[in-house]
Amino acid sequence: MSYFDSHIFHIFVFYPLIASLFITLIPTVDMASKLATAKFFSTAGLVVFFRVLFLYLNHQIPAELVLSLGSENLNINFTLFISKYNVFLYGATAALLAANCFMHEINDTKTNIHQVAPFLLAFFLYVCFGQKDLRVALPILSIANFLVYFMIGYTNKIRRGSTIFQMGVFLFSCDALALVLLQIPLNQINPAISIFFTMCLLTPGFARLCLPMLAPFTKKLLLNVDETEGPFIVIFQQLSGFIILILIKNELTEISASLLITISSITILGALYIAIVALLERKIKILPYYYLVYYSSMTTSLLLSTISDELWLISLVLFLTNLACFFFASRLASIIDRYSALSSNTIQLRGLCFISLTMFIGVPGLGMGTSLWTAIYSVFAFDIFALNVFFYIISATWILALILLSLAFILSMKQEDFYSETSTEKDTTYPPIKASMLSSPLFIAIVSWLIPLLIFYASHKGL
Amino acid sequence: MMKTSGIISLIIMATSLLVLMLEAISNKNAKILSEKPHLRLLTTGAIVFSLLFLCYALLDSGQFSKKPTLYVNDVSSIFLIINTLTAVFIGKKTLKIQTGEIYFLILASLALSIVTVSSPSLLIKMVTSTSWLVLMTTLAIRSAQGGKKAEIGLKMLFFTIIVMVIFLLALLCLSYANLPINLNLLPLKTALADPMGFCGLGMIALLGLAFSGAPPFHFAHIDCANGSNTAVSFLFLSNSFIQGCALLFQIRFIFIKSELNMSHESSMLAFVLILGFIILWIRALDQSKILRMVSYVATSVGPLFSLSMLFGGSVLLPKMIFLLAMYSFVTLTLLTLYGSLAYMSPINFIWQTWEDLSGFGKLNPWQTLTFLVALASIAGLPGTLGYFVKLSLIAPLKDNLLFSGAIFLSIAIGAACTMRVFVFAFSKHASSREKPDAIRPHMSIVAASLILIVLGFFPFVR
Repeated sequence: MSYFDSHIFHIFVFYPLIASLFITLIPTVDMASKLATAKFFSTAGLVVFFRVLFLYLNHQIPAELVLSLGSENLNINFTLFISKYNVFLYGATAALLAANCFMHEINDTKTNIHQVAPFLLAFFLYVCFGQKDLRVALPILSIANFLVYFMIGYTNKIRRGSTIFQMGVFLFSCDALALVLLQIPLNQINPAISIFFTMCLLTPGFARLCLPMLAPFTKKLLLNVDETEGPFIVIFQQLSGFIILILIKNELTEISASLLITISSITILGALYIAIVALLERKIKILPYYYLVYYSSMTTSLLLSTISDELWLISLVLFLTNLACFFFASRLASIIDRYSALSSNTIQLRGLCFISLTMFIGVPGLGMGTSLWTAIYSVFAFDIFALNVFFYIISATWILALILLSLAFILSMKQEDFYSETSTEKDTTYPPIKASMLSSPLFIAIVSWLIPLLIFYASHKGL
Repeated sequence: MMKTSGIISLIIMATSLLVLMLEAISNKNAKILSEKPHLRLLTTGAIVFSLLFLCYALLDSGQFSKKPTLYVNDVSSIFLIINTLTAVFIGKKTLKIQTGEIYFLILASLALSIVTVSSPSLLIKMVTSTSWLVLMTTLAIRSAQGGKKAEIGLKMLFFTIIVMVIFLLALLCLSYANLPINLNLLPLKTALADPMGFCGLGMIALLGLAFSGAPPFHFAHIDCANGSNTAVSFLFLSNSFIQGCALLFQIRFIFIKSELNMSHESSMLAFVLILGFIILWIRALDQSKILRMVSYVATSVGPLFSLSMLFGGSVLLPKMIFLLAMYSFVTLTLLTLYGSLAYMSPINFIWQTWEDLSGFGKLNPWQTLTFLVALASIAGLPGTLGYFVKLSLIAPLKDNLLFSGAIFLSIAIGAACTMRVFVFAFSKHASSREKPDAIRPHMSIVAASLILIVLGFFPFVR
């Protein structure tokens, strides 16, 4: 093994930190250099990830990275693990960072903190993905949220203050509760309250995944994040929530029937609530967020439906495809928003908007449809719920919620002024709609195929 | 070795104090420390020499790493010196009057507080602690602004009298029971079995609670921290917490050594401290004035520190490191809190409300950031040193879910408090169009806040 390969995991974990250092050192006025540096590091990070994945699949990379410091009396070890549970989450974060740099013009950001925040948040995620113990990961994720609050606080949204306050207090309290409970040995817990205990442990994950029943701030968060930074912030929360759920699931010895019913009810009620709200509001700009929450709820339900790893890969595929489609749709929405304010190419814009949201409605083989039907097939194939009445009710409710969301989508598209900022006057100075923008739906359609193919290929290689 | 070092450092400090006192008396209004470099050298040298000598003697003893609880008084003395130096450092920025008299009072208070924590005799403790309070009252009044002087003076003197009365009662009880007034010579089983002896020790515990700032037993902490100068507030709170903790530690030590079943009494002590801690946070939440809120938050460090010292523990850390971490927590959090406040001059007035803080963070990000880190750490938000300090209590107190619930509650209230400051500082628009304050906080304050965050990433409590 070459010297580079033996240290590749170190390089991969620490490159966001080095990138933020470089971006900070570049003078504030030189925005082009900052952007170029960000693009360089994010692309390099993605390339390094593929090398890490290749080495991991061929079992040529050490499974853990130990950072140690200490003396005679005190020895501190900080260990990062790479496993089947986190390797694709690392990849998702690297891809997200790259997409964020290429799809977002850095020169309209406000401060240096805004420019380095994605890299710092990615670094925090990398460190947390590499943990096996929630007691180590959760405090890091918790304090990293201060960056998120800072970014929300800098927007011009009217209710940003109350959003930060509610979200901050709720998340810090949930995290503290989970961490305090983790200090109490499981054998001291009365079996009668074990469901409550487990639900308290799961709450930080549910809240970050924006499940409406356990994250009262969801609506405010979705409405008060900046259009350009919002998708990254929301995906950061989603990835944090997912890793928290994985870490807790790995500590559980069993998922009882009552816990399964509780989790299923919470997720499905949340999804139904989201669908009804979308139908009543009919706001096209926020629809990608609603779809995201819907599929996140479904992922959670699948992930925690059984203690074994039968549905693990399916839920991972569903989760990552969801994130890819969401990032594409929300970013496209903000770009379309900008174009529509300048031009009158409403037919093209409507077309683009329609296609981007079509990725979510579950058309087989297109966007979420590639993962959704695989998930549905797997649930039947593995017979997780023993196909009883409860299972049929749950399935019917999931489908009903998806139909309602799709109805909300069609009704929103029918509205004349689906972007309030659309100008009726023809402006001759507007920039032309780029060909890359028109072809981007094709790109994301391919990505939605690539994600399951890559993950299933890796599982065949013994992941 | 310890005794020799103590005597040497005592002689050096006494000499420097004497010189400083004579200079201060002869020329009351002169800034003798800035005008006479030889005096500055003597004073600083005496303190630094004492500090180094104490550290060396402690490390040289060999037993410190094995039985660190036996050396709590020496560690307390070291941190009393560090806190005094830190107060002088903050005072250079905030104290308007920097005459020799002020520095003499600061150094005299240091000497008295060291004697208080080191001496086992209750009589000496009574004399030195009441004298320390009188000195602190003088300092607080001298540095306070406007109409706050009378209020602070009244509260502090009331506190001094109460302390003296309780000490006298404790002495009376012990004498009535025919027990010695030296805590090291106390026959443990007899003292605790005798009702009057037990009552005397209870009085000392009460004094410990009062010095630790645990409500309802504290009498002047909030007003002194609110009204007096930032440096004096820091000095008073930090050294008062250490003295209070030393008293409580001695009582707890007696409980343990007596080999009697004192679990109820210990639980009661923990309950009082944790209750006081939560009351302080609840009071902090409903304050409309910035400095008043900061005073409540800063005072809450005392009960938390005492709780951790008495009941806390860590499986992953050696006892010695844990002990030093707890003392460092007090110094670092209060330094970050009051240090950043010293650089937040536009809001550093007692009448300023939350609305005046609107947009302050956007104009002065560094000051606000360090201030928020201090708040978050005291609140015990996950990812800060304070969080591990709070978590260190759960495992030793695991039999009682009430304590775990109380710790969670304190973090939740602390989160609300911190987020309120965050929202006002970073989310709201500035109420005035003042130019941003270009002065960044001192590197040591930024470093202290960084340590509070970085140590929060290492899970030394499990």
